[in-house]
Amino acid sequence: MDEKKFAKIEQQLSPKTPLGLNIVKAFLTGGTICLIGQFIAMFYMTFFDFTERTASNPTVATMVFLAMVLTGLGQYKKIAQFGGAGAAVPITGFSNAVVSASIEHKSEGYVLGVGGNMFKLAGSVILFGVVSAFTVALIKTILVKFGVVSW
Amino acid sequence: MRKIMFLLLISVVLSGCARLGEGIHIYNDSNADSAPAENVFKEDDRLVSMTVILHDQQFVSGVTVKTFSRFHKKKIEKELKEKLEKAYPDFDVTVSADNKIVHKTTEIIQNKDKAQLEEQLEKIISLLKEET
Amino acid sequence: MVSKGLLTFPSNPSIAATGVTAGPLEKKSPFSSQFDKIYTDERMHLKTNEQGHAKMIEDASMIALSKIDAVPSKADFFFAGDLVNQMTPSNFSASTLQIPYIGMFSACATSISSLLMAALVTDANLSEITLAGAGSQHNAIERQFRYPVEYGSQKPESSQWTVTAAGIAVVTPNRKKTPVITKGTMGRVIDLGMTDPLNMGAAMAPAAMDTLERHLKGHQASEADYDLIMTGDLGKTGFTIFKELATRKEIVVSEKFQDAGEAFYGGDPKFFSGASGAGCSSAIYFSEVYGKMMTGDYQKVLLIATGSLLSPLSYQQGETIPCIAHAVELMMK
Repeated sequence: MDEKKFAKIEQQLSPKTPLGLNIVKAFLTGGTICLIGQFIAMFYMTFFDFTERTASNPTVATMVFLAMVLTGLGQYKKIAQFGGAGAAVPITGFSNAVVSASIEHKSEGYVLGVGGNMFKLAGSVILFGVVSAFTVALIKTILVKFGVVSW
Repeated sequence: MRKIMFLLLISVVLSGCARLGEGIHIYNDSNADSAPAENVFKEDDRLVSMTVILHDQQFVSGVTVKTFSRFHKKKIEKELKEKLEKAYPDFDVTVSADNKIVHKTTEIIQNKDKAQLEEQLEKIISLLKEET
Repeated sequence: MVSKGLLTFPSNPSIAATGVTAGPLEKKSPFSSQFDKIYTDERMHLKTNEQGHAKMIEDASMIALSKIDAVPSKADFFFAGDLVNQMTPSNFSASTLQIPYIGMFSACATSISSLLMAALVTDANLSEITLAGAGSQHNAIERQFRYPVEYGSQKPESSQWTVTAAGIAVVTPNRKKTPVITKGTMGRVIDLGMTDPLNMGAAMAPAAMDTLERHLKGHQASEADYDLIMTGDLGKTGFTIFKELATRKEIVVSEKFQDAGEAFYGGDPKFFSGASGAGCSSAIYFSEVYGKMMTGDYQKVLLIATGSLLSPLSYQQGETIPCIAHAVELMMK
């Protein structure tokens, strides 16, 4: 049996990923998370002296906190299994990555375990987030300089 | 857990409902004319509502924009400000599409007691200046 | 041509007793009533997952030994393994048991590879009591191979759930009324270019097929001779592919063909394609299959445990997944 022939059999018999369904689920899950975030932002705007712009910081912190609690209670992985990218892309997914790694490595102590491994998964998000932000800003700066767009 | 979350959400939703509705709402206790502001509002079809406070030398306004114009909030604010400054050259014009400002100005209009108007306006302006 | 890697054990070493321990989640298994001990805590009330893992292997060994009224100091050899780096849980349990020990690693096929080693030393008349087996603990293994346990990543249908279980068999020279080890086949590493660590069943199926074919040809046997041919942890996906491969080799696939991974959780979709891990095959083989041989439901069985020999490093470097399968033939004489 050669590899190509086997790959064909494997392709036929392995369960297909329900792409359409997954996209719908991701949309609903991500949307729900963002809706909750919107409510929290409104809460901060209504009851505290935050404007739409300044409310984003406490809102993000609250969402991170909620995801942290859900991760600790073992619920976030269930949401993620249902929602896929919908649960991974919002800030709550970032929180989940950090917290789950911390829980996992707590057994090796706080410095080498939690400290050293906290950003094991989230580290690349931070790195590539910064890199892509820099790139986008660079492109925009150049475009503004040449007068193609304005800020 | 779920019940508490639900109650919290409901209370947040209900508390955010004190709106004046579409159109322009003006509170004017200065000697300037309100008509130019109304014209500015009518000319701009991206706007849904506008609340305007004219007091002393202050012109403070909160606007809500149509859903898809939300992406251009900054630009709309800038354009409105330019127009209004032309219409009210003697006034210190503040225009914002921020929900908080809309909410605050609405409160001022709805509130019969205008005693602390000066302070409230200053508060709004200071909120907008806050960074981050 | 007789293929290499064939083993026959003329003295017919016996599996005198078995011990199977499992975690709390494994209560959901339809075979849970056959497990000797089910813990109420996933860490066995210890501080770390790894300590719990070692405890589970140790307890399974003690249970198995107690069934033949033996103590660890009476045992000659201890062959065991798991999936954690450097097999530390097995090492720690061997440290507690103080039985001369060699750690075995054939990934999830360790249950059978250690059984074969035990049969070899017993058949060579070197041992009175040898312990052989394997275990796995869900949290420890997930951490070893995949993401942190609480990390939310969407698992596909083909992925498998690492079981928390350990199975240990006590191998002794031939005893009456116990299943005996008659033949075995050591697997070759088969790699057909599969790279998806979340579809290991598919990667392992050709290895199982290769070993089955070599065992049948080498020992001049036919699939019809057996009451049960059970693969290790191919899962629903891998087992479907395995059956397809067998059919293409003109092997009659009947009800006798079963898979421990697929059967472990009774097909519960919560566990996706089924169970996996070194504890999966050992727990089923040494409880359900062993029990049914003792009651006479099965006379002759062929157990083919499969293992995928990958590491997180190797698949992140883009390597394919090499797989192995070891077979052992048990008879009730």
